[in-house]
Amino acid sequence: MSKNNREMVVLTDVSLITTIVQRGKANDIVKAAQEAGAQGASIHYSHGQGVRERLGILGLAVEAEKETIHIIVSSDQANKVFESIYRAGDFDTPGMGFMWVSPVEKAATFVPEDILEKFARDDSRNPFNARLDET
Amino acid sequence: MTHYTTRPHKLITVIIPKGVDTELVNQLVDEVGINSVNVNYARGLGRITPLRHRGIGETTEKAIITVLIEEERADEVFEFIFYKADVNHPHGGLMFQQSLLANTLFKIPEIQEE
Repeated sequence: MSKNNREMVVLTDVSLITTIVQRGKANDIVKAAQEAGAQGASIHYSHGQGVRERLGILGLAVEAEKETIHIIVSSDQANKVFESIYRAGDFDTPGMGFMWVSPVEKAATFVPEDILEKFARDDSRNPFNARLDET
Repeated sequence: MTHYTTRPHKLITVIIPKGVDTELVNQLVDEVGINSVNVNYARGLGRITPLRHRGIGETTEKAIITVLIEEERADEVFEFIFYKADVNHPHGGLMFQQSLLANTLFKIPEIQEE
């Protein structure tokens, strides 16, 4: 199977996990996600409001600055990664943050040739189910 | 006056190395005619990063570009970004497209040239 640099491989069946946590906790979240199978993440800072204001003086314990984490995973892995992040982030504790999974119609990135060949051999597991050649 | 639309729109998100973003935004504005483009900066963390040799957990600077576009033009713009941002090479980044339930329209006010 040949692939030149002008060929776009489109991935479907992927999901976006967005997580908002207190500043400083993102690295632990990403580590947990990677242990569950995620490849990587992008993290940016944001400012949150919510439980901090309602806790009065105790709210000082909640960091106002947040980290927003975007993780793209295959839909098969989404539940596993979601659960792993939930545990790592202690999301059952109020004020620790929140997360959601949203559907992605399609995604594109660099896919190494050997990975493409591997999935082409077993078409039933092929997430690269559309290929758009340069027009 | 309607401030929002239920006409199908898509949100394209592009995560690319910092530095590529300015040129891409200019091209989207000048060549595609889109003005609903936002940029923010982030740190990227991956299993295989360009700086991996320097240690585990090394991060790289990324730009996250979000583009709001009508459904009819989404595929064309997705492809445009893919090639213009050179996503198709190692460490070139990642992009994805999501559908939206509703969105507002963004029009730049007409300002008379001086």
